[in-house]
Amino acid sequence: MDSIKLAIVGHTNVGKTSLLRTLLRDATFGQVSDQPSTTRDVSVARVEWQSSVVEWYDTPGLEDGVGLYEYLQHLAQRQQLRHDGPKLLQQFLASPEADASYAQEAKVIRQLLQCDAGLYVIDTRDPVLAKFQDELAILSMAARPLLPILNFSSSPESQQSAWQQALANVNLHAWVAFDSVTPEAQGEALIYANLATLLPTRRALLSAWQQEIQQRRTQRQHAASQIIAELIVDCSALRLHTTTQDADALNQQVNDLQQLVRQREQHATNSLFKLYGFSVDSVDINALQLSQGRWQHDLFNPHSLKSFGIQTSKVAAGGAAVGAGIDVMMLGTTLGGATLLGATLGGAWQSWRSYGQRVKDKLRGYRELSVETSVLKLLVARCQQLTRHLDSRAHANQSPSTLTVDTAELADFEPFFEHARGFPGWSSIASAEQFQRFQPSVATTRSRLASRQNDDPERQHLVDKLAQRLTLQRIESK
Amino acid sequence: MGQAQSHSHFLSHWTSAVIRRIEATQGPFADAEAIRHARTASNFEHFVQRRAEQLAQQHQFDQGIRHVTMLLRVSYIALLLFAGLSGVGLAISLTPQQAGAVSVVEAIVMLIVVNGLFIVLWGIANLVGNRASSPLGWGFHHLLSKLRNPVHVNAALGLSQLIQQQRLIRPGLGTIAHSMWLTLLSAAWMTLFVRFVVADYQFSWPTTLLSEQHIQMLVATLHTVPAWFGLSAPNIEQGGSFNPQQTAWWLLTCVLLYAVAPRILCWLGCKLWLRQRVGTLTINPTLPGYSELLPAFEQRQVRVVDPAPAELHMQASSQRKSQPSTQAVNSTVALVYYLDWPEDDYANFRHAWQQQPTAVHCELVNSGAQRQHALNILTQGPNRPLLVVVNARLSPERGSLRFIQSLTKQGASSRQLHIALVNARPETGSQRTEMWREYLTQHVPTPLHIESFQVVDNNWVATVTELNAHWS
Ligand SMILES: Nc1nc2c(ncn2[C@@H]2O[C@H](COP(=O)(O)OP(=O)(O)O)[C@@H](O)[C@H]2O)c(=O)[nH]1
Ligand SMILES: [Mg+2]
Repeated sequence: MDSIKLAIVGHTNVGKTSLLRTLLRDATFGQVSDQPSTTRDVSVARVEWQSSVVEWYDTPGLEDGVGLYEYLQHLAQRQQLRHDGPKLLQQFLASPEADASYAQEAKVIRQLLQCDAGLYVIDTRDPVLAKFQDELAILSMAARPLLPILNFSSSPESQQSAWQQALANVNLHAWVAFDSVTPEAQGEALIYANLATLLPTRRALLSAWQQEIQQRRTQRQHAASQIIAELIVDCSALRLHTTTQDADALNQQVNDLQQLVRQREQHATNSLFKLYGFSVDSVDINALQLSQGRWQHDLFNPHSLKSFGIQTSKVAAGGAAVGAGIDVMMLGTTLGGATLLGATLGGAWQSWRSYGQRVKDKLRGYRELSVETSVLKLLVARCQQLTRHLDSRAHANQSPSTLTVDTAELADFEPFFEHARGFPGWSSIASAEQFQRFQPSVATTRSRLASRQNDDPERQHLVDKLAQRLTLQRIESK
Repeated sequence: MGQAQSHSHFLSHWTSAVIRRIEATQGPFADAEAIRHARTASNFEHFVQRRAEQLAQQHQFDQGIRHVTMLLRVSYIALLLFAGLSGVGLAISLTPQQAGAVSVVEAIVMLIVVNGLFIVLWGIANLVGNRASSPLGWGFHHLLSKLRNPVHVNAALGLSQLIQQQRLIRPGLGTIAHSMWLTLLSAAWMTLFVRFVVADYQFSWPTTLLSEQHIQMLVATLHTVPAWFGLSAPNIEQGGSFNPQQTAWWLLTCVLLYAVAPRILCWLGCKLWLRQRVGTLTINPTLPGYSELLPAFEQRQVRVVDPAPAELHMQASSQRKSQPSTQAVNSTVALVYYLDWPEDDYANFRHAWQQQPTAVHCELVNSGAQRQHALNILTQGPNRPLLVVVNARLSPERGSLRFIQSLTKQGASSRQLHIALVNARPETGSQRTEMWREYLTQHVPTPLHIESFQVVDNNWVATVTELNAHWS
């Protein structure tokens, strides 16, 4: 297997672990904190693709460059090793101080000597001081290609040009400015491109990797669209049957419906988090502060809809529920329009069968509860926004962020809602046990309709088309 | 040389041997600080030892040495206990309580002849000088091979090398062997004595092989020395007057004179031999690991004339212009060390200090050479007030911490050492001052005076004035 080993090295607390988090798209890798010497061991992350592996080594920080450089000079003098850097470093690794005063530095050097190249992370807010220059001198002794990463490059205090000069002084002319918390889109590609220059024998592998990374990103975007499309179809198609005439009981059932949709949305959000490598139950969700700001608003809160500029219809049972359309026995409104549209779009005989069943139900005095278009729009808007955010957010970013939702072009999705509405069996929501837990009485009535038409090819077709539309919208609105 | 003195003398050689062995095999330690400590040594031997003691302390080898010493003591005591118990057992087996009489010849053979033979063998081995490994030496190495902690192993290996190189093995092992035999024989003698006191024994002389003449000859020979003390020889003729009491006393005296006394002499001899060897332990400057230290030792003598005082005079006198009479000439001027500051910030600070009424000696401490220089200045007047101005915009790290620690070790007493955490760009920057405070209080054992300051709007003078006010 073709493999490349890369070590991330640098002073303590300059963002080495953060950089790796961003490059690996893994917000849980290692430990990141403001405190010095947070990372004490060398840890490795392997990224495999076809028959090649990239191994990233996160090392502890160099903390005493001045002392170590003096000690190395002392060693060199004693052992007559003025001009053999790697050998001198080997001598150092065998020396008693490699387990004592400079044990942490020894770990870094040992790892760098075993790697193909090193990424030297610099906090460009720091002035160029003797201790950093000593560090650079030590790392240069390893005779490994070093790619300086100018971190914190977007900070107002960044002294990037001073650092570039200092690097040029030790003949390091290739560098990448990369802010691991707010990275630019091509930053990552730049790192691979520069590595390819530094490691000519690995050029083919590295540029293949670069392409692969781009491809993976596109794949992730498609996968995200699929997740959202499934959610929308499930919610659009969801219909609860009810026979009750009592207003309170009806309200209760509207609440049930809302709860089901909330759960389904949560499920989709979790999947999106997972897809983008942000773990659901760790700090990341808190960091994103989904529970604060606008996101916090409940899907069915009128304020929520209004704040996104979505018009709500006034059809609400007893004024309590927003977003649950109550389809009374009025052929030609929701039922009629949706079904007819669905039938025309799909043209399959199932739609007619389903239509017939529902007409029968209506005639028997059933009523149906469904999710309103405004809510569906909000779902689309929210998920699209989250995806866009996850796609560009650095995995090193630990600060909370607020999401603003752009609801333009949402009207384009209405035909999809209408199509799905015609097929209550397409909704996978209430068929699960979770529904049972919810409200048994509704479960029994609904189970008649839950004839598991989830794998209907027409449904799949709709999901695919919707996903395409979602991807397109995200790209266009960028 | 007294016992304690000899012990500490041995310890410092042991410590040096431990450090030497590691340096000769694995490479040198980072010894700048140890050498600074050893600088006062008058000769090379003391220099090596002080440096080694300092390094040993830094790397916990002193604890390793204590551990190994304790281990050896415990093993030695166990050996002596075992010897004592064997002595008691031997004496009991010679004096069976029920079955008839004590065989005098058996007692003589077991207690006197065997012991004598071993002494002779030991003497021959020493004279011939072959290095046949004794069971004790083997036991010592077995014991050391059981050590796991690298610090303990290093301490033990140092000891083993020291006793080999300085030829301490023979007197050492001799002392231990003789003390074991001595314990065994004394225990046997005491047991015999007690048994003869509390029980009534009969003695029998004949043996299967030896005739009465042989036995008489043996007794006559053995009796030569007791006769000087006026003891009468036991009567062994059959049918003669048979006095068990007399025989018992005679037997006890013989054991004392022919077994215990020679062992005491041997033991004392070995002990003196060992003490003499320890007293003449030397540091061999040609050994690898020591020879490399000669340049440092010689350099140390050059370094006594450090350029720092001259510069200090200059500094002080140039500042006396503004403040003629308050400051004494040199080593009382307060020191201000700027740790990890860019040159232009440092220039700003210096400029601001020049506008203060008090004269101070400023030093920028960034590189290794600057650190050394700063420490050297401090050795010249360790009791001057010292202010370390830390660049608190940077992340705290071990390197800076080490420098501050070496200042405290270098004699900057905590009363004189003040730390100022200064953030020169509070408008833009992340606040790491609190991290620094925490880090320092956590890692510097002596209580420190820590204050934090900010340079607001590039007003360096205001900050320095504030610094100065807090400090004095
Ligand atoms: N704004 C910003 N903060 C960063 C950047 N890189 C790291 N950090 C922060 O710097 C601190 C130290 O990061 P960490 O990855 O633990 O550093 P390490 O000790 O070098 O591994 C953390 O609080 C990070 O959030 C960056 O590029 N921009
Ligand atoms: Mg780290």
